[in-house]
Amino acid sequence: MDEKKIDAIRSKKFPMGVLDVVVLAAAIALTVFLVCTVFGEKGSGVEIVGADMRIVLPLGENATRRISDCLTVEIRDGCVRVSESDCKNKTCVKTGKVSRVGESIVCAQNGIVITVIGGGDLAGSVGKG
Amino acid sequence: MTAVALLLNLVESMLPPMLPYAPGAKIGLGNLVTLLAFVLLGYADAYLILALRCLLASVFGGNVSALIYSVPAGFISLTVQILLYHFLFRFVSIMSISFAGATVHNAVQVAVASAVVKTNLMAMLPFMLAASIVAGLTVGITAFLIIKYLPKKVYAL
Repeated sequence: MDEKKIDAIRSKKFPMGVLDVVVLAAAIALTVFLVCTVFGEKGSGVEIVGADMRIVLPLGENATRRISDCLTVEIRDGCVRVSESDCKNKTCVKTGKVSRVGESIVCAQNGIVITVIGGGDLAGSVGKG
Repeated sequence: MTAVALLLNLVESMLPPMLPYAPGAKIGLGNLVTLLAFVLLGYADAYLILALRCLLASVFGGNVSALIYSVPAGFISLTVQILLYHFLFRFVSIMSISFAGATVHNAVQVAVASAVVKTNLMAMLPFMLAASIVAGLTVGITAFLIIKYLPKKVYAL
């Protein structure tokens, strides 16, 4: 514990200095730029990749698929979501619906990644679902 | 302090995701305790509190596999924050240190998740950066107010 540093923090009126504002503004600008770059157009399909399989499903057709007997993927109205999963923290279920190219849902515990893809990426399936 | 960190972890786990496109991104209320620990108690205490928090949170949460994410992200993030605080204190504030910690924490988590699922998840980084801004601001301002107004006798035992 460094008393001088603590006293220096205590003596400040505001938590932010000029440098903080500059750093924050740069971070916000970079974030907006990157999000605009990554946030693509409406996807046309969804790629589901696991340890021993890869499935591509069209986003235009409503469907419900059980994946590797550990989670259920639901496609409705051009959006995909994980409706149910046997993993512990349910982060994949909490992610909710995704529909734009590049967006993904990850179930790290089951090793499954669901990614929305564009028209040119649609291809067949490999392995078991 | 470990108990407070665990309590904050528990409260945060009950909240919905901060950003829908960045699953796993949190405000990092547990990081508030770590930040306060290395400023008010010392570096060794901060590492000890972090280790106990990661271990106990995963045991109580019934998800020991979460250690794969929390341990590297927590320790690398804490080390970066301590280095900034120790060597660049004159130039950076608690808020910037908190922001740096949140950014590194999220980046390491994405990198570990990419390695675990063997898929490049770097497309998530922009959303994680957005989450880091919110987390850094929240934790940084809260930490500043606590350090400023917490009576010295509370931590200087």
